[in-house]
Amino acid sequence: MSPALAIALALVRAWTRVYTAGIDPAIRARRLAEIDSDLWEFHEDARHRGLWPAAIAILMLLRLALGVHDDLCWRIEHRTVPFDLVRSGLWTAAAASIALLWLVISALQTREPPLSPVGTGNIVRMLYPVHAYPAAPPGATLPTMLPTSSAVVVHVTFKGAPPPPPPPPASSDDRR
Amino acid sequence: MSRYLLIMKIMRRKPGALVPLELAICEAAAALRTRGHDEFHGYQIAKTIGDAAESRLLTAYGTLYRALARLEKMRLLTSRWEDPEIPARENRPGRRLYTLTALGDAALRDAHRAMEGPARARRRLAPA
Repeated sequence: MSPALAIALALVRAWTRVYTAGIDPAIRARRLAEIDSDLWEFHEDARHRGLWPAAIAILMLLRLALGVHDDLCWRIEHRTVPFDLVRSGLWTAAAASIALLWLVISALQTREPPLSPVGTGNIVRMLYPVHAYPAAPPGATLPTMLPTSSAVVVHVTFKGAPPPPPPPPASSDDRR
Repeated sequence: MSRYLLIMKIMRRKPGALVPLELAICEAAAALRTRGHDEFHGYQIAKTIGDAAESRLLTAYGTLYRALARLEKMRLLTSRWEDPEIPARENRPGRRLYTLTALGDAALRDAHRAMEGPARARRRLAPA
């Protein structure tokens, strides 16, 4: 037996053992035996057709890879853990993920100055920071003014409306 | 979430309808029976489907055996392990042998009839 074929056989068997682990032993034994039988039949048939061992190995691995999705679905169908427990686990994991995300964002926020006058709670500004680029040198075209490796981030602050324009200087007639 | 999964399950398949792979398995089983093989094993089915489609790559392990299990659950197929003496004598792993049931035959006929209907209507509507 060629090494490629031996590896392919080992991989298919190993994967079958992995996705059937922990289920009803009778169902597991049946699936393992069926796959083993299929591997043998396929190998014999391919050998009689004169296929190279490497080609047989590739076809075996392709049959394995294309069926992974169904293997996993089959595994879910034969789950031994009750669905309610799975659901509770998923909700807990989701809540923990949100909490972790919040902690990470908070930690990042403490290292940088606030992004806007609104304060640290401005999540929109944090997720969509305003990027600004250095002013173009005189006569430069657009592509050359954009930095290639890094961008300068400018924190835009809103300080309210601009001050009103100064009143016009009093004319000589007014003075009189 | 369980309600969503239920909706997905309902949306995916009409009651009694066969998905293309299940139909292909039933057709292959019927074809094997006409050739004198009342019982067939998984690889035989994959080979028959592959030959019909003129494809060198056979149905994936997971896809094939999951579909076979589904058909068995729907009672369109029955299965049994072959006599352990036979594989021992032939020095090979034992085969799980499947048989197309009467219900499977009926489902196959229904599926063909369902496919014939729209095709006949298309032929009737097509300009001469």
